[in-house]
Amino acid sequence: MAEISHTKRHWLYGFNAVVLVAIAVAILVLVSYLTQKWRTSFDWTSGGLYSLSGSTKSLLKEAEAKQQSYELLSMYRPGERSQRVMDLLNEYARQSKAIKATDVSDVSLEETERRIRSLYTEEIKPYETTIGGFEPLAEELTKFFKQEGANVGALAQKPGASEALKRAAAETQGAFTKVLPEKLAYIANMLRKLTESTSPEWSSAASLLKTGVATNEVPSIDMLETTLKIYVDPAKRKDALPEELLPYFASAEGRFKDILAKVTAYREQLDKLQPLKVQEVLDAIGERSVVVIGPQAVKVISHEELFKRQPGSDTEEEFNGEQAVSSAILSLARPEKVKVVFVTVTPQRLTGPGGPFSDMISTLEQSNFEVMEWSPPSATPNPQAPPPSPTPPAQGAGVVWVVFPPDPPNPQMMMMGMPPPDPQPVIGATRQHMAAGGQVLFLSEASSGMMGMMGLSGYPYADLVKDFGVEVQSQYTVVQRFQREGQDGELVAFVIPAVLVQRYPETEITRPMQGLQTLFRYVSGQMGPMGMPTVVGPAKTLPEGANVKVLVETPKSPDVWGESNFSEKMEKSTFDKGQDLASPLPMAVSATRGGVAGGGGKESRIVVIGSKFFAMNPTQDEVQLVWTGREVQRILRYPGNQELFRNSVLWLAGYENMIAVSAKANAALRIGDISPGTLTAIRWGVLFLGVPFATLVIGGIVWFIRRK
Amino acid sequence: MNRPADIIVERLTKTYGPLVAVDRVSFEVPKGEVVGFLGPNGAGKTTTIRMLTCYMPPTSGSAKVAGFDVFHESLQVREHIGYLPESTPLYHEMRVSEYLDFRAKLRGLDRKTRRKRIAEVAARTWLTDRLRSPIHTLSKGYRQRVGIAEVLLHNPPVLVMDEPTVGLDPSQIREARRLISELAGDHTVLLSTHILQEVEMVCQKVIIMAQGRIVAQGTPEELKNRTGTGIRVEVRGPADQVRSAINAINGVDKVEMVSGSGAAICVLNVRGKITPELREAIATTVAQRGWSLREMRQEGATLEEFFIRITDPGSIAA
Amino acid sequence: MSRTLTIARREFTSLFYLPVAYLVLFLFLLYMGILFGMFIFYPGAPSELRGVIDFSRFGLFIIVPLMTMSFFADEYSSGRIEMLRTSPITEFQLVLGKFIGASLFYLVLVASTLIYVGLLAIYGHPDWLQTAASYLGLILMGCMFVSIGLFFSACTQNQFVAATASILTLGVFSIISELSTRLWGEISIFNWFSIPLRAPLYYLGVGPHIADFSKGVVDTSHLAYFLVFTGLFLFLTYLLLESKKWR
Repeated sequence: MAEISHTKRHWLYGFNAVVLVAIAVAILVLVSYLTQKWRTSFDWTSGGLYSLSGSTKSLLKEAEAKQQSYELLSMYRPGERSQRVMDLLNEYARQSKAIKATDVSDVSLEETERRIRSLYTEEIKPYETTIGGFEPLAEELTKFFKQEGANVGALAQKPGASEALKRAAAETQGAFTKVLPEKLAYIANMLRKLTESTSPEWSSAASLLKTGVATNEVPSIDMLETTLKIYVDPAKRKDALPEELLPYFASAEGRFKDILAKVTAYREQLDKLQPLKVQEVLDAIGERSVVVIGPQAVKVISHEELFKRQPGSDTEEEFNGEQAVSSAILSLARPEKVKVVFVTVTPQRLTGPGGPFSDMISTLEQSNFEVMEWSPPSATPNPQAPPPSPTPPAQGAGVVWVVFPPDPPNPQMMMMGMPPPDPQPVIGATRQHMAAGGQVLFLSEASSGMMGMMGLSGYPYADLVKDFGVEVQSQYTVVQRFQREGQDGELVAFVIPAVLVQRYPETEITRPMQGLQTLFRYVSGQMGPMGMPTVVGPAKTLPEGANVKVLVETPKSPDVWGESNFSEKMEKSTFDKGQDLASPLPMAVSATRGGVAGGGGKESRIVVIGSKFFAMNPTQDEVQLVWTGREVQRILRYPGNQELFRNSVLWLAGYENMIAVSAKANAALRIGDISPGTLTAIRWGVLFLGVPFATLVIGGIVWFIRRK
Repeated sequence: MNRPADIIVERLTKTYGPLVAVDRVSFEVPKGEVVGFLGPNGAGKTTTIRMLTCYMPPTSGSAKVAGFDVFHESLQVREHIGYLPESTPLYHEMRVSEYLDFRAKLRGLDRKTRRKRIAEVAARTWLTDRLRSPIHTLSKGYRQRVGIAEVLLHNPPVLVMDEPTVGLDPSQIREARRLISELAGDHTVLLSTHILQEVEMVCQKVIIMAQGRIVAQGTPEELKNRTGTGIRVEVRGPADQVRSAINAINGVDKVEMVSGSGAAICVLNVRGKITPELREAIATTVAQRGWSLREMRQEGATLEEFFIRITDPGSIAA
Repeated sequence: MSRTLTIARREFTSLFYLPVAYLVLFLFLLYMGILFGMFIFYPGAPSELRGVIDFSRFGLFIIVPLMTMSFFADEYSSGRIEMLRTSPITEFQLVLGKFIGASLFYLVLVASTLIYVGLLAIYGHPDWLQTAASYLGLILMGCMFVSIGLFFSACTQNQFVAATASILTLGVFSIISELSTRLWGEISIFNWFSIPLRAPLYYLGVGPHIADFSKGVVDTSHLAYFLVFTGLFLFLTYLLLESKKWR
């Protein structure tokens, strides 16, 4: 055995230990780095409070693939809202390396502002050159006016100059050599002050030049131009200038013309300036907002978008953060909004605030859609509706149309001999739209109600959807039998033209909807139920290239069927074998067809849903108010309705990856009522004193026992 | 002495920087013997023991305990050794039985063996009635017994005890010594102490250390004999004359006057090669001169004397 | 392994025989009780333990060192270390055993807070899985604190020094993330650090890692953080004991 000297061993072991420590620390750093890089998280909350929806995840994946990075800034002051917002933003950051979430207290506002400005440098450039160009212009003008002033002054010195001439010349000389240069210098000074700071105010600078300062009688460029125009126009000169000087100015007209041209050019340059987006963005940043800084632009999400409050109720606000943030990211990732056109045969008022679809429309708008409506010129005018026009506002590829079935005509008008609404213009326009590669969401209804009575049986757009292998069997009304307590306590069965669905076939559109209730409902009209649900399914033989998927199917139940003559017996309808259709019944389909001309070789898509009003604003009894102990939460009884509509539109627009459930429980369940007395008793008796001191007592007992 | 040695130490050295605590120490402890490890404070006893019990590695040299190398087979050494450190550190909050059970478990004894052994060692160390007592309530003597009991738990072939009787009262010391004597035969015991009677009473062999070196080793008798011896002579007669007369006897190296110089009775210490003939010669000489020989006896050397002589810094340096 | 568990069991049971354990329990329950009573337990508050778990570290950074300070320091000063080190156990078993013992006692601390969950269950509707995640985080954080406490206890034979050093270290771990972000602009001393240091300092702190657990999210990176730091300090403790042999 080789003897190792003591010192040698000492150093050897010491070195060994140092190496081991170094290796341990290196492992720590490596593991930290790797686990930060490849992290997986599991949300253990039962409500999935901290899980982002699939749509957001795919959106973030897309951003990552495109190597776009986003920074999410919460401008909220510390508090419950701030925590909610930061929780959400942190989930984004966890999900993707493309996202950085920051609390506003982490960065100074100046830093944020600087970053935002740096994104808009292109936009500011014309401002820089224009406003920077003022000073040379001012110098030139000053030189010019001083020269002219001197010239006029010289006139007065000439022998034989009249008193009037002398007075006029002195006045003009003063204005030209003193007043005007001073004012120009003042403007230049103001501009410098406004723009030579860390947060230059280009907009203010531009408006200073455009409007001047009234109180200080500082002229705008406009005024300067107008004034100079007097000197180059003989007629105006005669009106405005002292008679004695007219000959001089007539001789100087050429010089004035030159200088005027320069001022005019400058004014035009000034007029061309577009309003600054950066200013809009900076102005929108409030104390309670989220700023999304994208690769090229910035979007500010207001407090109202994040925390929604339902109009006209006392309910507490709901947190709508994920939708708002994801939409903001989406709109930054894809600056152009996809247009959605609600198409009706007769003019309606579907869009706009307070319209019957306003909830749905605001949801779509947040998903980066622009919603408009269109109806062709019609015999039945509607003063509240937007004026009909022969050409749709948008059509063709990248535009989604939502085609409503024709409304029942006003019975009075019918009696007056007015023709029923003619769907032909809409059919033609839709055909054109589809031929140009546009996508359509068809809504249909059973024709056995009002429409049947009017003799408008059949679905007018049946031919359009048939091309995709979709068959609308509008002669059947989908009904469901319910039971309610009668007057004498007995259960009475009644049938209504509505059906509740909770399970869906696995499709791209309906996958995230499992378990969410969708109510396909009707609307009570003057003459009975309207917009009753109907059967929409794949045709028996599909055209070549067509692919149809059933999105919604009624439950298989003896209480649900397709009634062939609902309007006759209404609530008392029964299932008649042979005449009626037994459940399950398909009620909505998506269909694709490959390579339609004009679609750019891409497959064209349609969705047909057998209900007209399912996406309307939820009525009062469709909203459940839940008292959670501290606040009332508004819960949609039928959240599937909006999901189905939104997801269909998203799928049609090619935004499959945005399809997901947006509504979620927002907060953990809360502690219920505790009487103040009980609360105090528990706090002091248990929490602050009881439990801690109990440990001391136990300790004493143990000590006593162990002594023996 | 053909029995195999349980502790073999060869040129064991421990240095702390420039300080040499143990300097090339070599010794052997044969199986079944009790060996006393003597030395003044700071002689390097504890350091040597700590190296033997694997508490610290030697700087150089080697040591084998129960056939295992303390450096390379440290764990096996620790399995086969029972070590009672100097101050008998214990967990004071535990009961005696709990503590012994904990130590036995650390030794890897199973439950049944543990119960049996705890009862056995408790009986052997007169602890049976104190097994349920928390250690902090025990007197120093009882704690020491707990320490000894713990060492015996796993019945190790080698026992190393560092000053096991310190702090005990005389009767306890007697008990402890008796116990240690009993252990001889079954166990090899290395007993560090600085109480010389203890060594004389219980040890078959003594190793004396001073200033990091072994200055002497052997049986107590051997060591005693190595001390120079003398004859004590008490004579009635003039001291100076008596002294010079004895000094003149053949074989006497040196005569020391113990007491009585100038008095009627003097006591002398005669040094030299002690033989029966010498004793006779002294007696004859005294008788011839007409003095009366009151007493003559051979002085038996004490170990203490030897110890003091041998650990004297001057003698080591010599 | 059985010898490791022997050490662990002794450490665990012995703690209950010592007054310091009850002091630690008392302080812990007092602190957590005040947190829970003041910030969680009132009508209308979310019935989750989030706030308690999030802020527990500002109590634990003192309480855990009080618990662990004696673990090695007392063995050194009493000389028992000699007895332990000459027993047939390796340094690794010793460290691991002590760590398991201390962690078990910490689990008792944690288990005592189930009282709060009971109160939440009576007056609210706690989310059980989320609560489980919160507790997982609390336990992992405690294990990390314990291993750091043990390391400093192994550094010195003076319990007071061990406790002070652990409290300081754990205090830094508890607040460094917040210091590296929140107060960055406001306290000039932190401007001394350059921006590249900010991310590592933020990562180093316990705050962001416990935050996810406390709200009910189990993230692998946070799991790794706690496990790696626990492992690192256990390893350092082991090296420290091992080094006593040759130093």
